[in-house]
Amino acid sequence: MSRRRAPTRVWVGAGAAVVLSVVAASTSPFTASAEAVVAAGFVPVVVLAVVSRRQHRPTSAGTGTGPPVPGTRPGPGEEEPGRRWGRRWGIWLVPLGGIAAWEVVTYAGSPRAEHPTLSSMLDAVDASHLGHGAAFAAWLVLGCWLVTR
Amino acid sequence: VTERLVTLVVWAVLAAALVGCGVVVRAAPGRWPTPGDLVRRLTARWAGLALVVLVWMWLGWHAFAR
Repeated sequence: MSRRRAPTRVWVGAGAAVVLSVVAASTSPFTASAEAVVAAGFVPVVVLAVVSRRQHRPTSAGTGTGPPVPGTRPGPGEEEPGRRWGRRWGIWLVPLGGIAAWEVVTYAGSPRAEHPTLSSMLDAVDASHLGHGAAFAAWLVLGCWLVTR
Repeated sequence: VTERLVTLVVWAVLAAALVGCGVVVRAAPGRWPTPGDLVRRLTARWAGLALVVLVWMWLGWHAFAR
């Protein structure tokens, strides 16, 4: 069984993301260079969103509105076409709702050092060049992942 | 016990809950919606896709530019 090689454009995109992350690692917030590098990160993800959407025309899959496709059974981890998850979305409500609620509680708290928010914890990671670059790369990967589902 | 410690412990519990949900979902494929299913549902329409991209943009701007 042979493994499929990633298309060239994927390698080019990954290389560009690494270069952008290295550049981002050398920037500091509240500077024009930081704004420029973040804006540069917007471009490939927005392009990817449009291209990806045009390649995969909207169907009923995953919207929960269309009928199941007969004879197609998804493999492990694959989307089930037309599946209605109903209340089972609730499994994500607990942790995501809890995170949102706790963010609000900590944001309202003072001083910040005693009530760290997600942002202030990220600031600690961002304090080093390596952490800043890694966080930037993770943000780019997240964007690509979000728009290609 | 400081307020900071309590806050961090709650963050850790919430992170563990998130990871735990991910493990449960992966352990029983097809029984629970995956994060991918959630994003697919949100981005199924152009408006949803635009909203998700805007939130992602704000996240990057907030974290790295401001």
